[in-house]
Amino acid sequence: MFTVFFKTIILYALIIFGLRLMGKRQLGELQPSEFVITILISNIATLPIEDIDIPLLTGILPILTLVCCEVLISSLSLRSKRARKILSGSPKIIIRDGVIDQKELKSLRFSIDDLMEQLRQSNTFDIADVAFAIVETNGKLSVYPKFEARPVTAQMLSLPADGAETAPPVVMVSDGRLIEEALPYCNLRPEWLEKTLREQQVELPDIFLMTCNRQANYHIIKKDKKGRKAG
Amino acid sequence: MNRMVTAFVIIAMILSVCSYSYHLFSETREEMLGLLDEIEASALDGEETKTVMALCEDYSARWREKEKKLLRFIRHPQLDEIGSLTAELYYLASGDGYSHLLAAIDRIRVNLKKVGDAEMFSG
Repeated sequence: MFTVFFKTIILYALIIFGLRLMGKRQLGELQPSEFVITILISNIATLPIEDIDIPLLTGILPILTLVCCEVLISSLSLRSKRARKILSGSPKIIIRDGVIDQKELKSLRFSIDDLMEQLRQSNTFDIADVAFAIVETNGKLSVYPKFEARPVTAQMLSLPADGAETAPPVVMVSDGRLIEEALPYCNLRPEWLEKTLREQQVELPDIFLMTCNRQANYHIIKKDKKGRKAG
Repeated sequence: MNRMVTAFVIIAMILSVCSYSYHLFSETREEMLGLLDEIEASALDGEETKTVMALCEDYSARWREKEKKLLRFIRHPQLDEIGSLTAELYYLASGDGYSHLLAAIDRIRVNLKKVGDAEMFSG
């Protein structure tokens, strides 16, 4: 049984290493080649774990080969547009100026139900609101709404932009621990934090979450009294 | 760029493992087939049982050593069969006549060729 245990740990470490080598893109949106490799790796990894007769090397070798193929293929597609088109395909416009391209829809084997579902997922419930809809290479639908259906933006309302306001708040204290990078990000000093906590009559270890932005607007959530962490 | 370098290093490592296993299989096949020929020749020449038994013992010892290395790379059902036939050779050599021994040698030879073919792209 120790063999199974060690084999599993080695393969787990190998797959983590493989995914890290393939890069973050792999974990998010899968291109066709990445999808194939993910399925193959997960299948190959289970074989030496399930069957102790199969040598570990028989699992490691194909996994590493697939990871290397993926790295080389993604690197090739990064350098060559033609390779990118062959390996991943190209985005297809299925709604143009509000008109559905039925031929393209058929060639993509996209049913009306699929289209409506993807539109709803993009918060578009009326097909009449769509100016352009593009099926991306990973199968997701990108929707560009008509002008009258677009959400109001600060630019449309000619509101003055404040550079500092665009910076989002960051977590300053997490589970009673100060996040070191947060104070310099907010242009604040440790003395400010000490003063704020004193004013709020709260100790650092009693804070579950504290967020703060560059205007020094903060929000504190204390740990609950029973020691349970609030959601 | 670092990823590419890592990928090339891994590919180089994989290829070296593959070529090592290729040579190991090829070397094992040649060596074992040679030894089997030797045993077969001495049995057919009607040499003393002791001589044939000694050759069989030597063959078994060498096979066990090679088998350990081969099993690190791949597991073929033929390897198990060769192992069990090899274990019987010594006892078959000590029996009356060599007909069973020669049949076992033939079966080992066929299995060795099958394993070699599977591992050396000729199968």
